[in-house]
Order: sequence, then structure tokens, then C-alpha cells
Amino acid sequence: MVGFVNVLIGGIAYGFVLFLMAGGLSITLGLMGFANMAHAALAMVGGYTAALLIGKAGWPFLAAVAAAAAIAAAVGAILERSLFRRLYEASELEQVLLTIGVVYVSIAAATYLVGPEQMAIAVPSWLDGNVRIGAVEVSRYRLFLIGFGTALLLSLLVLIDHTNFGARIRAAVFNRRMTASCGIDVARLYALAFALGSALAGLGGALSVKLLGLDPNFPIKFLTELLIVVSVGGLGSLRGTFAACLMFGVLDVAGKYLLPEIGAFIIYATALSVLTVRPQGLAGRPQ
Amino acid sequence: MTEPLLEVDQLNVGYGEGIVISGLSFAIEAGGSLAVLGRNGAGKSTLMLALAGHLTPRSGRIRFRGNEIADLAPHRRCRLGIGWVPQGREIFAPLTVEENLQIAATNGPWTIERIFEMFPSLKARRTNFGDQLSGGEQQMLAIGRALVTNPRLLLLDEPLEGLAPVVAQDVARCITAITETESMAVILIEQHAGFALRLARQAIILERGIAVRNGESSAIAADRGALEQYVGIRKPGRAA
Repeated sequence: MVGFVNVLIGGIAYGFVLFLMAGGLSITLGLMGFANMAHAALAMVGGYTAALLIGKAGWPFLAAVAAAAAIAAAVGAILERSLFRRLYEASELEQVLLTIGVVYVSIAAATYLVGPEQMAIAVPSWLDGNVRIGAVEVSRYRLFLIGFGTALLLSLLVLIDHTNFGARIRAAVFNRRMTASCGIDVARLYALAFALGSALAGLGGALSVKLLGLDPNFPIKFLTELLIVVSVGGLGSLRGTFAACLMFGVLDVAGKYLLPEIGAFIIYATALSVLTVRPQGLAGRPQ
Repeated sequence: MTEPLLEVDQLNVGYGEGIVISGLSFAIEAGGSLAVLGRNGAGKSTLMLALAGHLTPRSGRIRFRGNEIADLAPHRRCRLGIGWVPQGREIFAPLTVEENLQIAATNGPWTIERIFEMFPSLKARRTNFGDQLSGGEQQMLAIGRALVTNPRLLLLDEPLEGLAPVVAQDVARCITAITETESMAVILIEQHAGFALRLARQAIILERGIAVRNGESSAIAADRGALEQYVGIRKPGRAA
């Protein structure tokens, strides 16, 4: 029983780690419709920013995480302004080719600048160790991720569904021409939305290092998982992405624990089955 | 004499190889009104797209409130005071009625509350999404969305198209009220030539992108020959 609860909590925490990274992707890929493979590279930028600021410069944990989000937003905004905005109207294949190119450049750059070895991140004492809840010991850091991820989910839902900024993005994605004729500078709006998605990538990257580790191959290792949760969740649906993250987090951890021989394949088999039955994803609108 | 609100001079617009509008010139005073008549494919909607900024002219000038705007981006034209009600309405389906108005709203006499007073059925449906509206409500919303940008010039592209006769009368009454009481200029494209000519003081008939008539609406309304030749007489009950 305690083992089951531990697997469940571990899975949920892993799901929240996925969501912290995938939430931003559900804005750039899901909402804006840009096939953004570089999202995983921006998460790595966040991870290295936080790890280096804490490890080498002695920054406090939360300040380093905030800086990771800011640096990833800046890098994302530069990429969007210089490269990606040219391909908003292009085919998905062209978007994938360009952004996967950015992923490989980022892997080479990280190897050159920081080196190929694994990096760890030190968390402050208030996030270290376990707390006892009833019969089970739960890691403080996992509880922190669950709380932080919940707050992020709620903030993003409010931002997209209940603010003028969110309404403008939904309008621009639906009909860019008419949005411009409402007096809205769509290029600037997209740049802001992309920077926001990139900031969330950096945030998720920084917070995930403790659980997932960090080396220059980080973007390739987690790109597949990120794409799976956004597409299984349903493009454009933050709720769907969140549900898919929890589902895959629990399935992945439970699978590797209960069926170690085939555990790694469970999420792929599930993704395949879900998308066969519902090509639009869990919460997506039918095409 | 003061400068006109909008002055179009020797405008040429085309897609790809073809020229759709050629050598078009006209002017509208502040608060003035212009009906643009002509058959399908005569270049009417192309003219609207060029004025709203979605097509770049091959040559010619468009001056609006003293600014040369032929190369200006659409959102800047809107902020200068050109409101566009496109053919087919182009309501934002993923936005509620209220959000459709909110994203366009600016400070000025036309507020969202005023739109709701003018179109009470929109107020009743303020939390409905754009694709949950009737055709008439969508048209009211498209007009309201253009009005809350507080334009000096309102571009209306076939606002009565596809509406049931009773609904079309309602919308036509509102358009008449807007143009009569406000110091806002209007350019109206309409298959219902009678309504357009009653509403607007000036009129242009386009035929293959060339203005074959350009003058007072009363004179053009009396020119039955030109109306039959270039506009065609609509049979009652036939959709546009």
C-alpha cells in the first residue's frame, strides 16, 4: 500500500515536472500553432542558467529560477524575432526543420560552453529532505513542484481565458487579418506570447534539473515526452496538456516500477492508442 | 476648402498578374458617405481590402486624415480611424461576444455599453461564443466591433448579405441611424442597390475595376440604364 502511494506520488510529481515544461509549449505549439521543437532547448537554457547561478555564483534558489525564466524568455524572443516569425505562415515541416536545427545547435553550444558532464542542482534546506504525511514519507521538493505547478496551471488558465491578452491571442490565432484590423499589432502580440512560452520553458527546465538531471542532451531526451503530452492533451488546450502530463507521469513511473522490462514503452503505447481513438487529443476540438 | 477625410488617387490594385482595380480616384469628406456598386468580381471587396490595408496597391495614393497610408500596416490604419466590417463578418469564434468587442475597444464615444444599448440581443448573449450567434447577431457584432475602435471612416462590406429580410431591415435601420447621427464617414458595398443609394450621398459604380459612374447618389439612382447594365436588377427573394 505504501509502495503504491509512493509510486502514485512519484508519478504525479513527474507529471507536474512535465507540465512545468509543457505548459509553455502548449502556448507556442498548442495555441499559436508553431511547431516549436526548440522549446526543449529553451528549457535546457533555463536549467543551465539556474544550475550555474546556484553552483558557481551562489545565488539563492528562487532568484536563480526567476533568472532562468528571464534568460530563456530573452533567448526565445531573440530567436522569434530573428528566425521563427518568418515561418509562422510556412508548413509544419519547415518549422520542424528550423527549430530542430536550433536544438542541435543548442546541444553543441552547451557541450562547448559547459561541458558534456551531468550537472546537479543544490536546493535550499527548506526544500530538502522528506515530510511525513500519515504513513508515507514524501519529498519536500516533490510537494513544492506539485504546489508550484498547480499555481502555474491556475494562472495560465486565468491569463488565457479571462484577460484581454489571452483574448487577443485567441483572436489572432483564429483570424490574424481581422485581429490586425481591430487595431492590434499582431507581430508584437506573437513576440510577447512566444517570450512567455519561452519563459515557462526556462522555468520548467530550472525546476526539473533536480529530478531529471541536466546534460547537453537534455533537449533530445525530453522533446518526445513534451510533444506527446501536448498532442495527446489536445492542441490549444491547457487543461488537456495538464491531464496528459499527469496521466503520463503516473504511467511512466508506475510502468518502470511494476514492469521494468517494458516500462519505458508504456507511454508510447498509450500515446499511440489515445491518438488512434481521438486524433484531436483528450481535450482538443475535432478538426 | 478643407482637405477631404479620405482621398484615393489613381489607385491600381491587383493579385498576381491581374489588375483588379485600375485608375480609381474618389474623395470623401468627414461625415460623408459613399456607396460602391457593381457586380460580383467588379473589384468592390478588393477596394475595401486595399483601404483596410490587407492588399498593397500597385500604384496610386491613399490619403487619410492628411497621412499617406498606402503602405501603412492594417493595425495602424485602424488606430488612425478606419473601421472595417468585412464581408462574411469574420467574427472570432473562440471569443465571447463581449471579448470580440473588448479586444477592439478604445477610448471614445463608442463604448461597449453603447453597442449593447444599440443591439440588446448582443447584450443578452454577451457570454456566448462567436459561433453561437445567428447571422443577424454576427453582423451586429461585426458592426459593433468596428464601432468600438471609434473610427472616422467605417467600411461596410455587404452588411445585409445572407440575412433574412426582417433581420436585414433591422440591420439596415441601425446602419442608417449610425450614419445619420454621427460625424463618421461610411463606405458601403451592397448588392441591395436601393438601400445603398438611399443611405449614401455619393455613389460609384465599378465595372471590371474601373469607375464607370461616379457622382451624387440621386443622379445614379435615376440612371436606370447604368444600374441595369452594370449592377443588374436583383429579383426579390434571390440570395445575393
